[in-house]
Amino acid sequence: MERFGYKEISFSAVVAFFLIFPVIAAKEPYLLHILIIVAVYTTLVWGLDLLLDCALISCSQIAFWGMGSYTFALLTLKCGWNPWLALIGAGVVPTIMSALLSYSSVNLKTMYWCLFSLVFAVAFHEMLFVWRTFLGGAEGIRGIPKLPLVTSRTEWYYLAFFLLFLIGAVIHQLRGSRIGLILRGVRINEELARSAGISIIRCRLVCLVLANFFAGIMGGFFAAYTGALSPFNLELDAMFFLYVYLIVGGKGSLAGCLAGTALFIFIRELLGPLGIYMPVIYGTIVIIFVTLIPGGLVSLPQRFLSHFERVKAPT
Amino acid sequence: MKILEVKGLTKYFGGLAAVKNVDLSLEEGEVLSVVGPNGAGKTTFFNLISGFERPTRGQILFRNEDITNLPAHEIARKGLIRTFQANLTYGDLTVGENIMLGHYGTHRLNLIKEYLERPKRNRFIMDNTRRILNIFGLEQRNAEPAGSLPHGSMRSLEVGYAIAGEPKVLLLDEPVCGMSFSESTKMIETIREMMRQGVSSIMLVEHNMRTVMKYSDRVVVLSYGEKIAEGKPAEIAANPRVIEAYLGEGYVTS
Amino acid sequence: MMGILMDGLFNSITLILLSVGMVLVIGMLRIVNFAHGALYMVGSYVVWLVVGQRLIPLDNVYLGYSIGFILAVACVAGMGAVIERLLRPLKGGFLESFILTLGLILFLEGAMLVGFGIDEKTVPSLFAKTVTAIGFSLPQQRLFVLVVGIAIGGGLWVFLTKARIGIAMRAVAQELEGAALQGINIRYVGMLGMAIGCGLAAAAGALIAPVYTVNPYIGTGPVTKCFIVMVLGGIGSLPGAVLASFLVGFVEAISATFLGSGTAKLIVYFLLLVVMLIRPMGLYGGQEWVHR
Repeated sequence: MERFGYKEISFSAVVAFFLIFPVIAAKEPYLLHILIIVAVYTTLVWGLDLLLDCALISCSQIAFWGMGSYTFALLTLKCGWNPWLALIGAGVVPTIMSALLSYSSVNLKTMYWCLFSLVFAVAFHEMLFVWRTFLGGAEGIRGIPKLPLVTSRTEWYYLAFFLLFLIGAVIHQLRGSRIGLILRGVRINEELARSAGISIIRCRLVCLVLANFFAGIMGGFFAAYTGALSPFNLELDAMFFLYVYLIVGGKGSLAGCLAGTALFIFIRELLGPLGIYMPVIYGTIVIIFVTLIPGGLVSLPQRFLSHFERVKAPT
Repeated sequence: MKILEVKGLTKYFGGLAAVKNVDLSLEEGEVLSVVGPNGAGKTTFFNLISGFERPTRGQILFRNEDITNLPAHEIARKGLIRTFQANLTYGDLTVGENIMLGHYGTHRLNLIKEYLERPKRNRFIMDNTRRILNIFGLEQRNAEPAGSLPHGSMRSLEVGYAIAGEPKVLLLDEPVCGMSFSESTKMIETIREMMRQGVSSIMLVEHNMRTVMKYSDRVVVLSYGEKIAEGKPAEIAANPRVIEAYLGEGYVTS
Repeated sequence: MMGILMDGLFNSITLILLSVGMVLVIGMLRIVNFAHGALYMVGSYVVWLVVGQRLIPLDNVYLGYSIGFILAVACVAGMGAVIERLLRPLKGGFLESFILTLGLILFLEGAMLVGFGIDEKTVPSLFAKTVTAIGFSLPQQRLFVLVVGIAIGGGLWVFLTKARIGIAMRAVAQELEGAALQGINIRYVGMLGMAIGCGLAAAAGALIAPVYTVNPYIGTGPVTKCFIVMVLGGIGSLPGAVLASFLVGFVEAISATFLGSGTAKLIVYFLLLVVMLIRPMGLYGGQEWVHR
């Protein structure tokens, strides 16, 4: 019963913190920028986590994010679309692409699907470099129009936070719903689910559509926010880092993914000058967490509490 | 009416025939046992019928509909539900949640409704879940994780899960394996009760000869993937080919 | 014409070493080792240390290189055994193993970065001249890679088809329980397979070291190509890996000659996407990778 209150309180505290943050950070607008980046990457990690519910290890989340960004840029620059509509379009295009790919791939088992998504991501990345005329090649795209009504950095921050909250709410509702229970079952015992008539394909498609749509929207947001795109943001390394954030923060938990992302983005900022040590440190952290703390950061309070309870009650 | 018909069912794994040219039919309202020494291909046979494996050759008709190449979940929705011998529950979920999940394959809603529904708020499913838990004596254990159940209760849960999908035909894979005499008698009684309540026919794979002899209407014997005998329990017990197949197993009939 | 043949062969041979190595590792561990490219990179680094940095002071470049090569393979094979130890308790989930290999990549790349700096390193070539023959010209160094690569490949083929342990290895890769029932010592064969698989990655890295430069990130390109080969040929399939390697190597060579290397890559990917859409489990991929 106590733990129930603990979750509610910490959630409210976190939300309050995010709301008040711009006031705290009034003197340092750069901090707002960092949090916006945290929000963007957190939604990507949430998408990955959602796919994990269906035993899908995706390597193309960043690619779909990039697809969203480029879609937004092209729709606004080349087709003159209203930026808000383009934002929706940025979500729709990757979803359609993913649906097309799923035509043959949705039945593949986990590891194979993972490689499939990896190869797609690499192919997409290459295409961005090579297709100079349409996509700007290595130089990328510049001069992307902003979203009307969003002018100051604080307003960008609130928009990012709003999207984050919205996406989080959608995923949270999903996990607490009938579909969520089905997903939990499917993840525990797939065969058993099939034997009762549950369609694994349907589960996978639901998660894929959601994850890719969110990635696309955040991609569009990112394009509007930064105003310029370059394929160098979409290297495979960035993709793998998402998994680092996920596992260290805690898979299966929205709060965990947020914590993990925030932690590493802050570390990256702090370690800026010591950048050369980053990969080794990251690598060591990952190896330690995977082998010793598989539940991630969010599982630590639980472990601590249960250890404490065991100590407290000797009889 | 033949509710299930199997014609020339064959499955090759590489060069090895696990099931070879098996013909079988299941009548409405009957209990059919599939027996045979270990490695006879009984589980593969179940997998083929229920859609978990694709046959190399042959045809499977369920209520006169060809289900040979359908995926497992579609076959289950049509009313043919199977149980498993091992790994039978959602271990981390509660007993109640296990039974609830049993409904979700057949009592489907559209995506939006399923997205909005809080599982515990669905009146029909909650009531039915309670009813099934009652039948199997699991109501007290409603909130326990399924993985912590004793073996007999776990098997009951598995059958309850299958029942939740409102099957017309149940394929039970060793339903009383590892149970005590009283537990298995209770289980068989419950299964017979099911037959009075909507399940039409039952096919079991079973090693326990006492159960087979006592409760089956008919018995089919498989050996090395082929059907070697079929008939009423008493005929089978006296069949020399059957005895020969079991030579060395040493079974005792009632 | 011959030029394309030679280029294609050169592309293919290193890819074959790398992908066969990966197939062996998949066969032993049942998971894809994403850090395979990092091992390839470490192989190059060891050769660089021995030959380029003169870690072992020898005047004879050929001897130095040979020692470097053997050392590279040995070190990485040893690493492979360690990795296998780390991965075994994680039988639980693909995710955990997958992320562990990602952690390894970061760790190895980072270690090389910290240890030896970010600049490109060069390993002096063994052969400076170029061979010009009927219709093609190929630097001797590349010819050397080709010859050694073919030799290793041939030796491997003999091992896997004729030697008892090699056959046992293939059995373990195909059917773990069946192999155990046959009395094959799975742990021993598993570790050996892992060592050989990783050793092959190191061999490829060691061979390529004098041809291009050495830096912490040279592993990503080859391992990506390796994945393409896996998807094309079918995960865990040896003939699939070899065939797909040839396919990729030659398509690249042909496209590069006529269209330039950027478009060449794109054509490989396009080919790949087509295959993926029609036959997602690859040329030799079994049904085990597809849900029913």
